[in-house]
Amino acid sequence: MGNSKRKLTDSLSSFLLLVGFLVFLIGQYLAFKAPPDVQQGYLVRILYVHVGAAWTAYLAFIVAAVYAILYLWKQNPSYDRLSAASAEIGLLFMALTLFGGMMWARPTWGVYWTWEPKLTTSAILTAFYVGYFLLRQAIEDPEFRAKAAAAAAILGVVNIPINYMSVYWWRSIHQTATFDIVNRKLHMDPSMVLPMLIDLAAINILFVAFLRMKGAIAARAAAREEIYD
Amino acid sequence: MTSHTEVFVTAVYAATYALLIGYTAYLFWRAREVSRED
Repeated sequence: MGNSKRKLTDSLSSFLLLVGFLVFLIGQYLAFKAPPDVQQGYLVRILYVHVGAAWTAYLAFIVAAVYAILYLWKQNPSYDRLSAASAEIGLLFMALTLFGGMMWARPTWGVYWTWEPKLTTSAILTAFYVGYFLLRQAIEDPEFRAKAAAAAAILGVVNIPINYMSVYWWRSIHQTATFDIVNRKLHMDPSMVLPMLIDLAAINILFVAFLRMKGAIAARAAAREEIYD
Repeated sequence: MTSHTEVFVTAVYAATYALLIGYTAYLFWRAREVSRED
């Protein structure tokens, strides 16, 4: 007999969710108080979530690869579940990055989409992780599925430096990175840095909360399956 | 800001809130589903 009052999520995840949403609201308030860009005007407000979503997607895919390596090393199914959970969240944030990019592209470039290097490598990155979930769906044996998915998750991170560096390797219409790791520069006015970093922090806090919740749900679902099998 | 660019900025923030709130709601729904028959 189950405990009907069992909590849906643990205290730390609930706390992280609350903090994440509050920090995001603060970030948005500061973003809307920040001055307009000299060239793009208030359209620059898209940047505050676009960059945060993109970096969190990168982080989520890297975390998925780390858990995939841990699974192959330790053979513990919980690492496979966390790898899949992180990849799922990464794919969501990647979709948001693409949508934000398209909404930014239309008024600045005149089109929602163009096959320039940054957008093309972003589409490949997204398609790769769609393929990752199709792979998971296609394999029934849990052990083989976990191993194949781990290999895919590790392979997937190869796309991240290609996507990041595409604006330097093949110069096109997409602007260079706002967080310019290559030249160790931040390409924006200091008044815009704080809201962007706050939004980035908020989305990362929410990522951790989502990952904890999704991992716990997957573990509980797997335990139930074992009982019924 | 012109009304033209306003539409695009609003669409991005609406999509962001929809994703964050929608995924949170989905996770709570899934948590309820898996704990229902524990």
